[in-house]
Amino acid sequence: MRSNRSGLGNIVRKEFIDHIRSGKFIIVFLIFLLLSAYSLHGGINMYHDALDRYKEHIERIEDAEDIRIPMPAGPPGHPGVVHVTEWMPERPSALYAFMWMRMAMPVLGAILAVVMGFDLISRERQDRTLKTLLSHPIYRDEIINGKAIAGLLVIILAIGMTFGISLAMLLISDIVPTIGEFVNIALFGIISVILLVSFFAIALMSSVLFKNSGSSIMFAFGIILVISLILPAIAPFAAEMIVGPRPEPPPFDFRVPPPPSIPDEGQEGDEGVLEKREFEIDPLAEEEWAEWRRQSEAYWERIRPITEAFAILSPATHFGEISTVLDIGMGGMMGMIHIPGDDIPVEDPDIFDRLYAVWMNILALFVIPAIFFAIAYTKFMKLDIR
Amino acid sequence: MRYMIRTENLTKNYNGVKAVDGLNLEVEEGDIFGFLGPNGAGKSTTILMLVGMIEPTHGKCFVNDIEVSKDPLSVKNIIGYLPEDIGFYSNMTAAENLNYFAGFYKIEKSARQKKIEEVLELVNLGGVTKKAGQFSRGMTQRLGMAQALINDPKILFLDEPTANLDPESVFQYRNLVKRLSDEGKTIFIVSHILPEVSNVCKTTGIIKEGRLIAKGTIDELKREFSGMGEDQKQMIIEAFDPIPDLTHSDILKIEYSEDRKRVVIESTSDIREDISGILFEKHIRMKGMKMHEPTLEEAFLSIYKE
Ligand SMILES: Nc1ncnc2c1ncn2[C@@H]1O[C@H](COP(=O)(O)OP(=O)(O)OP(=O)(O)O)[C@@H](O)[C@H]1O
Ligand SMILES: [Mg+2]
Repeated sequence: MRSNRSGLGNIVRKEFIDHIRSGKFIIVFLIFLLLSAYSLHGGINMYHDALDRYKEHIERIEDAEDIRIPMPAGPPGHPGVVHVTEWMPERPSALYAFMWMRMAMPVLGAILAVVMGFDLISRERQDRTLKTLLSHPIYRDEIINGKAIAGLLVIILAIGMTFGISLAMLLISDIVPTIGEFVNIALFGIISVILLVSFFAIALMSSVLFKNSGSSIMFAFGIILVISLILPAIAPFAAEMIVGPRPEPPPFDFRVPPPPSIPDEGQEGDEGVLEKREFEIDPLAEEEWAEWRRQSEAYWERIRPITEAFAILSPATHFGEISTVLDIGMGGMMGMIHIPGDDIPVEDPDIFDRLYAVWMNILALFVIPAIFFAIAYTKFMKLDIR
Repeated sequence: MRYMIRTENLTKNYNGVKAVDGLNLEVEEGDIFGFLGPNGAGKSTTILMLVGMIEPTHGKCFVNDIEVSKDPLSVKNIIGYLPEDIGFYSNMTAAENLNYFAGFYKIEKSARQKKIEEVLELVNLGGVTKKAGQFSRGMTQRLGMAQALINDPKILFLDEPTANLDPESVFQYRNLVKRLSDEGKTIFIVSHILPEVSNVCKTTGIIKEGRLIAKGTIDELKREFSGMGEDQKQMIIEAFDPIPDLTHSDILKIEYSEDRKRVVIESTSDIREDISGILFEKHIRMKGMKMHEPTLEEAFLSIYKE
């Protein structure tokens, strides 16, 4: 009679309504929303502080009032004096306001997603509804697929609402993101969805593995704790144990040159930039430093794959890496110090190049929920339902 | 007659133990089949294989000539199943629960609402607006019956359908089963409660340790297990005075109680009239005289004791 798979739609609809009608979900989602808004509020305040500093600085530049800061000789390469007027201040970015939200998202998201998922299957077994359900003409996988799809939709809805409110808060606070910033915020929303989906997949798996909902919630949080906190935290120690101690730098050599004479005002120069001065550097010390840098680089090259391996299953780590290239929570500093003669690229790489640089993290963020869902799916298909 | 339910050497092993052991069973279309057996006999295991919830270890079963393990979905489309431990979504009302389950069948939206009201009415849950989580066990069981009827099934599988019902509900349930049978449905009832089966079932099968040990109509089973032939009668006579030795050509066996005020007679025919004549002549005051029919209860107990 029923040859198509319309059962899936029926399950998705019921599960979706179940979530949004559940008191537990509503409470946790409201807390999620409030704390997200609160963290954004903190970010907005920081943005305004940064904006004030920026404006102050611009004024100072316009007043052409120069302040020179002597720099130590090491690490070598840029010894000398930097002039405040040489700082290239950047107007704080709207993305800077998301700094706290970015930090809060993995914690709040884990709580919301686990509350959504931890008893999806275990409750059906405890209440013996699974048997009733399966006595009707549906494929068994429609049940777990339906629950997963409904969970995804609810997460999209939840994040959508959170970001909608966030944008409204920005606009109310007179922060109008540029198109580019808006794209980054949207991408940040998307990776937030995947982050929550990862935690949700863990909770769903847990609900398949445990018949008791209490055990299920403990296990879900336990797994999340291990993969996102414990493993990444012990990674540096483990890596140092494997690779050995890091190389010691040579002793610091402070040899501040005599202060240069202040040039006359209005002197014809490179637009206020002073001529570059060369310093005599002890060739022996430089050799030592270079050697240390080589060793350090080699050392970190060996450490990095180990720490990365420890954090490979941590959705929060990948979420953080991607957020960084999206400049989420960045762009609130006074801008980069432009050292004359240094070849700092003025043009930022575009968003695709930046995302390409973290393609492994992006891939991992998709693969992690897939792994946990695959375990949940396989276990569920084999479940003894009597 | 065609068989609506048929099993061939149906076997289910649990860790090497045979819960169901080479079961061969046929149930005719329109029958009310009672599947009787003590706890742990394998009744529920059999029904779970018949409704496509678990796979047999060996053997096959067919429902409406569809091999269940090959096409469980087609089977589920035409059957209704009331599990022994039915559960419902506690946050939803009876109607909402049924609406969810009805969504898995091709029933028009408008027809669906009518069907839900109809089956709720059948089990006396019409107009109940409580959430299923607040239902009593009996109400839950009745909702289970409604749930099994939601797709107007050809064949009904009921596992201990009266386990939690009060006498009135049991009465209504029996009427419902008879009515459904009159509509032409085939009904397979699992029970360990004898009257449940003897009251409604046309045919009965008895299962013990996973094996079918008897099958037939209620009368056939009674005779088979009482150890009495078809032309064998048993009478019990009680009197206020001691009863003297009785003789009759039809008597096969006669037993007197110690005070001789009670006699059990086995004979080839009903000789109550002759006996009462003899006692009347001897001025013995009678207290009572009755035919003793072997009950299924006795038959059943004799099976359990074996
Ligand atoms: N999941 C299981 N694992 C191992 N053994 C099982 C399992 N389920 C049932 N059994 C065993 O199978 C046998 C048959 O059980 P079944 O539930 O079919 O009995 P039943 O006749 O329905 O009994 P009851 O009248 O108590 O409902 C029992 O011995 C039981 O212990
Ligand atoms: Mg049983």
